[in-house]
Amino acid sequence: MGRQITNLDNRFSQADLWGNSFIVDLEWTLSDDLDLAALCISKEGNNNSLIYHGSVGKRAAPPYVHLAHESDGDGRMKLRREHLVITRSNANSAILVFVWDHAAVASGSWAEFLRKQGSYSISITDQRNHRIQLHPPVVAGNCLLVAQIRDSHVSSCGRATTVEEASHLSWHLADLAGVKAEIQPCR
Amino acid sequence: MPLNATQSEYLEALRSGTMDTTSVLNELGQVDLAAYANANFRELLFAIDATNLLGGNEWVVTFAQNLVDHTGWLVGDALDPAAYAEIGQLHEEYGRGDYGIRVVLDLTEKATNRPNNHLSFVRRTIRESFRGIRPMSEQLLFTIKRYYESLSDRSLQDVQLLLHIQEETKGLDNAIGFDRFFAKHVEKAVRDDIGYGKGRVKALINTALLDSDEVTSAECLAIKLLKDSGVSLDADLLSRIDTSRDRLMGMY
Repeated sequence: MGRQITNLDNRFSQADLWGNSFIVDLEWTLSDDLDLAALCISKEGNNNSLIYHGSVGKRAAPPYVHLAHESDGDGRMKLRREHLVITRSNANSAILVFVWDHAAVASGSWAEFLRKQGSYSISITDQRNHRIQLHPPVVAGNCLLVAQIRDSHVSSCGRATTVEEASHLSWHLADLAGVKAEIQPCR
Repeated sequence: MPLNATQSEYLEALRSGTMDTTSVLNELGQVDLAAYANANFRELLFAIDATNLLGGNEWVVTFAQNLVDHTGWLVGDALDPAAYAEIGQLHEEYGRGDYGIRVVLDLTEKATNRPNNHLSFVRRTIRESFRGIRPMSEQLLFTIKRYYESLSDRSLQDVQLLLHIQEETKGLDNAIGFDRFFAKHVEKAVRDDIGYGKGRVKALINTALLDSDEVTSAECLAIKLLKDSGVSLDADLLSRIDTSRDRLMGMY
């Protein structure tokens, strides 16, 4: 896993985030069941955890991820939303944010959302309400690493971090060692 | 009127910390009161508020008072519906900060002739400010307390709002005093049996506390106050105090 993270670095552009807690918002129009997930890399390197719908963590014991499905209010679900709350990110050396298609991951097939331009949007909001719109590319696969949040330095006014936006990375979830085995049926 | 390029740069410099917040606010505090009637100036204030750099500053009180008194939103004791649209739009555009909540509460106090849905707007403004990453600051606690203490007719929605705030600030660095504020209002709501239908508020709180995936000190204190005031509680709820004894130590 460590090697993969190192390899990813050259493919990212960067933007600044303020604070140590963030909200990742995902919206999509397809009827597919998309999920947000966060892989939290511990500072010690031996206690990594995957936070997703099958294991959401706890608010008082970070990392914690809150996944909320929301409809557009008329019951027809024209627009689907899910958000992921990352608190106290400074407890980890890095947090990798993923979006995947649950059914495509389970069957090992490619996901439609990654190949259909404009079918989903994803953004990260920091504690100063600065919203950074991410622009994932059109690619083939079923799981996308959309951002890497990593502590860069500590300043006196708070904890500064950087978010590194993925530019063209995608791979089958099976490539994430140990992750596929943890996938559980959708809620 | 959207922010011009200079204002946007100004905002970005504040957000990134390359510009000193205090001197900027001092400068804005000197502007002529007529500026508050200008939508562009109001937008700048709300945009700065969304960075959460305004709420903890002493200028927040002056900016809120001036906005309420000099926008033209208040005509006698009536509130111009345009105020709801503008505040809602600015919050949607930039995000929510303490100042926006304060403005809404100041308007609530001054406009006694309000539409029926006014309190729904106030609750929504507060509710949407808490999405899991914003702690209850000292300043915000003061403002929220003001809302609850000003209510002459508390409703079930106000209790739901309080439960939402508590849930969305779990694990964050909340201001000292929030636990007690939460617990006292929960206990009082049950004791007074507010809302329509007997026992509804108790059922609501009972469910919320039982569903909590981890008990916070605020919830423990609420359970204890309910127990002390003689409210019959679910056995599972009472056992939560016992299992959280370590956390409760030193609380009382």
